[in-house]
Amino acid sequence: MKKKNITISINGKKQEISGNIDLLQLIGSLGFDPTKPGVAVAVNCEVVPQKMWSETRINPDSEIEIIHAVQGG
Amino acid sequence: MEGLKIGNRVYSSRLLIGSSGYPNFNVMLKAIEMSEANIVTVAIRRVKLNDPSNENLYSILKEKNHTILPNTAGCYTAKDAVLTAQLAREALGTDLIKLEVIGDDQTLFPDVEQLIPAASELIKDGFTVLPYCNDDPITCKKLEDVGCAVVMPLGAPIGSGAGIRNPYNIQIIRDIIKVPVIVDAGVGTASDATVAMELGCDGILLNTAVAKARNPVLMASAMRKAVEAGREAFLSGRIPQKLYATASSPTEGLIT
Repeated sequence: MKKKNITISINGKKQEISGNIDLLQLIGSLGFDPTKPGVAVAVNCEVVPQKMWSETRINPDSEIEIIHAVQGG
Repeated sequence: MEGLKIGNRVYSSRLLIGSSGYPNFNVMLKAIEMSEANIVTVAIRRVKLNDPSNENLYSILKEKNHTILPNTAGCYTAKDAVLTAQLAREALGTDLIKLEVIGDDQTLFPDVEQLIPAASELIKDGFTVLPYCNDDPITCKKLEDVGCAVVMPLGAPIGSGAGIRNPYNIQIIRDIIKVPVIVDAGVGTASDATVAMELGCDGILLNTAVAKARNPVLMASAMRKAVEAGREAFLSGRIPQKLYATASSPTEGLIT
């Protein structure tokens, strides 16, 4: 059965996604190579380790932060 | 010369360098190399979505065998700083964190009320915490007491290049704190770094003084020498300062 789309926030921007995907699929859909090092993800202020991405369902209104290292002092 | 111990690791260089604000990536890499710093700081920011050009700073610095020190720059609350540190640990595979909790965007002075509980929480979570803090001995003592691996008092506001504004406080901090003291922020030129090291500080963390110098690579070289010179001068034990002269040539056997 096809699930309805849901609205979530990715890096502070609201987006509509399929309600039927896990975090790994979501990251992949954003144009990321999931094996690329140096990226981390938090869902609702909790860090989700990379090995848990495929088991993490995305609930409506989730706030997702995807970060990496940039030049800094 | 003996190394700088942070947590359970020892680093040969007492200079820690930032990766921000260089004219370009290539100059940054050359300046870092010239500085001979082991530890390089980075910031943690949101990935730009739909931008395939996202540079992978992590991989580049790892390839060069640098120890990456992520910071929590831009965080104004303990909560944001803790989450940023946890994300940095996951992304970069390090338990080191340069903890910054900023109180105000004009001075960029630390918010001590947020900083100490944030440090305490991160230490309980297994982090090796390097807190950027005020040049206040009591704050430094509290940070040491909660288990910080080092304390990092500012010499002057971040990016100001104003040097070591309160050498007396830095000296008191060095006297009463057992963990390494690293002056973080305020260094503008080589002599500032030397002054801090001569006061007995264990290391210097700087960024803007090198990145924004007219010749960053040459300034990186100057900073390396300045830190080494200051350390050696401190270990040598300087002569006491006096108001009047003491002749250095013999006073016996003068022809008059």
